[in-house]
Amino acid sequence: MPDQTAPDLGRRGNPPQTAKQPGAPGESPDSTGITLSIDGRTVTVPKGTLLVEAAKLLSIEVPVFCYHHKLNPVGACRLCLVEISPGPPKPQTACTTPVAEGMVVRTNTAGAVAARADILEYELLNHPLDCPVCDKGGECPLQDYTFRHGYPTSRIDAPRLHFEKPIPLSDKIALDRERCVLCYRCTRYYDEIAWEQELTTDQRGVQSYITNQFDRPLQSIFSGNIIDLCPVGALTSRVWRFESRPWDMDHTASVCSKCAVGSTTPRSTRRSACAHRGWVASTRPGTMPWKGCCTTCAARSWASRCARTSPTKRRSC
Amino acid sequence: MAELRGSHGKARHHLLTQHFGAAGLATLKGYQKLGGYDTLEKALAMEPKALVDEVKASGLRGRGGAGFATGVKWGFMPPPDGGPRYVVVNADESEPGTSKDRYIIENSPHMVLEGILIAAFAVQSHQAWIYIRGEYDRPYRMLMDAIGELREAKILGPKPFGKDYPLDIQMYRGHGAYICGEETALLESLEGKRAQPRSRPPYPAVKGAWARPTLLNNIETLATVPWIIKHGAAEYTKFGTEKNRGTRLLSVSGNVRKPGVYEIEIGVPFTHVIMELAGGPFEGRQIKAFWPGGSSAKVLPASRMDVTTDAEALAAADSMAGSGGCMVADNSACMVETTYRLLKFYAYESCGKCTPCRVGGNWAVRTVAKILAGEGSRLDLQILDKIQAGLQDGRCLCGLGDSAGWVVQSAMNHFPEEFEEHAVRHTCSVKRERAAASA
Ligand SMILES: Cc1cc2nc3c(=O)[nH]c(=O)nc-3n(C[C@H](O)[C@H](O)[C@H](O)COP(=O)(O)O)c2cc1C
Ligand code: SF4
Ligand code: FES
Repeated sequence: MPDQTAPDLGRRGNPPQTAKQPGAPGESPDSTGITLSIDGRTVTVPKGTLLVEAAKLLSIEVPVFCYHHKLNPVGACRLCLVEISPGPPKPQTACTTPVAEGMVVRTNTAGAVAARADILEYELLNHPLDCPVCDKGGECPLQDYTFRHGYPTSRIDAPRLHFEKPIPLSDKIALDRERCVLCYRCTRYYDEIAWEQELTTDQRGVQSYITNQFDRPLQSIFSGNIIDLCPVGALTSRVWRFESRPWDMDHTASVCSKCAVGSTTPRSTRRSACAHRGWVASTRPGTMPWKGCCTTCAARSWASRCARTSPTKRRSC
Repeated sequence: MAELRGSHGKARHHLLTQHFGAAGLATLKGYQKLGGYDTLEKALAMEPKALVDEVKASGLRGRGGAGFATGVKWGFMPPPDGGPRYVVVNADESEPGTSKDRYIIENSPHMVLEGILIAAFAVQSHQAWIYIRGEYDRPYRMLMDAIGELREAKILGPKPFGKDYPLDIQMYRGHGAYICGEETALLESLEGKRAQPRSRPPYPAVKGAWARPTLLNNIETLATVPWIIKHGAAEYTKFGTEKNRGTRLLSVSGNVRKPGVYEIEIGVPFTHVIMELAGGPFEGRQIKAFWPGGSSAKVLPASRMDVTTDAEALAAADSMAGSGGCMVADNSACMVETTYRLLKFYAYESCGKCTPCRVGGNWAVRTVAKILAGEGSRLDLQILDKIQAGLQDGRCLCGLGDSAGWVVQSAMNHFPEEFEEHAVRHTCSVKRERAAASA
């Protein structure tokens, strides 16, 4: 899912669209624009745009887990495989490949479709499938992608691997390692945006898991953001867990009154009552104000940090 | 420590192993007595570009696994911009069945260092790093001693051979993971991070160690360079096949009489390697299968021993030259069991970064374990086949995942009846034969 803090929640069956991406149709085409075709439709985008972003402009859904437009691409989850010509006769990750003039991209060839379905099958192999009690259920990219891109039937009969769960990462955040798809969004958020050293990966192979650095609870005032960033229900708010289902909630754009910044923040209500603890709390558990700083306050310092990085990032801040 | 068995420079084609076994070869004095470091002195007087061209002309290809043309790789280094640039040497040699780098280092550490310094000058780098496998204790100490000798002799330092071109080599010990041999994971590890491969491009030549241009080569590749510069590319191209020049070291192991590291002229058939150099199978046994390029190369049945050792012939036989680790199995080996052991290695060594290798490798292990335990069915064979397909062809971030897929694919392809027998009839004819023989 793209920007998870945006009030418009990408509903099921509704591929997320980001209208104001650079080079969107309607904007005056960049003089250095690059024209390529995706599934037979052409699009012109600025140089350096990644294929996933270009596809978004055409409302073509390329599923992603590890890719997030505010984080550096890593190509770890391999879910965004598409076929590109000219290029090697094997699928490539759309999240790490920048556009090139005259590129022909196909997301719907038999090879690409099978590649993505296989990856989803792998992701589900050890997934606990406890969706009925999972906070993410109903707004979960893993659920949605499985319906849209996965195999209709399951071949999995292997016993699932288990981890101890849930692990408290701090007094506010719980980690369910069995649900984790290891997209490394949370650790990369810490490395690239929060610039703090609190979250890391331990072990390797199928035993890999996310964990606190040196077993110390997360202290960062930005830590709540990782709950939002998590594409599955692995990181959940301990304050908010099991309180509500996404489809019970209404969201209104609002302003945080906690500090002088006045950041915009979605205000979430359930059955007309302000959800949980009475005020700016949201279904987006991470946006809950704690320690006197809401995550949109964090966004302010994102903006200043992103200003020093790429122009695409700055615009999306 | 027991001496490794192998070539000790008797034949015309023993270029690398020419002086192996000579007394004192591991010391600077001994090496220099045999003409050592003369080539470096000569190289330092040449134009860097001429060195790159010479290596290009020699047709030398990487010995680390991928077999990429070395001169071309050197040519990929962008022109100097005043900032640091590195030569990183891959001595992580963790491929099952491969032990040639250790053989080279333990016999002639200075030959390796000379090659590294020539490469550093050729790509206009002042700093080289040797990333050595953590378990390689003796090779590590030998290289450290050799580097110490070079520093003392001022060959490493601000003015090697009087030329105003500072050179230095440093060592870094790995921490015991196979993935540290993959070039980008190696760089991450060298930078002090978790050894997980990076997405490419950018390639190390553009953005390598500490985000600077980096040349990454294998020990054997660089150990070959002094010979090429000394004798000239034309001389080197007299060896090998048209597309795959020179000689290389094959580490032969498994069910053979004389396992060891043998230098061969590229292009000789595997019959020569396995039956003659390595002494063939033990009494009363027959060769059943061999992995021609380390465990990552697809297995071939004994009937394909006629295939030659050049990369093209091996690719045509649907395998690869890889890192030159030739593992041999005789008829006492059950191919399902062998597959299981290799798979376990790949699943255990998976770094966990990308989904297919992390989950698929483990799933494959569990499926083969089920088949081996006699609880499998034809469906499990189909699942296994799907898993291996899901690991290959760009699905994974690095080559480790592909290799895990190849292990299963090639074994199932060449020995289908053994898998069938285990999965459907729940028996193992090899085990039965073994029991009958020992009874
Ligand atoms: C999983 C994996 C493990 C590897 N291990 C080694 C190794 O142990 N030693 C090595 O020299 N190359 C290894 N390689 C190959 C390197 O990535 C790289 O291609 C090589 O070091 C380049 O050197 P060359 O051009 O001289 O062959 C490995 C590759 C993969 C994908
Ligand atoms: S293929 Fe395996 S070893 Fe390579 S990046 Fe993926 S998980 Fe890591
Ligand atoms: S989204 Fe491209 S690899 Fe994860």
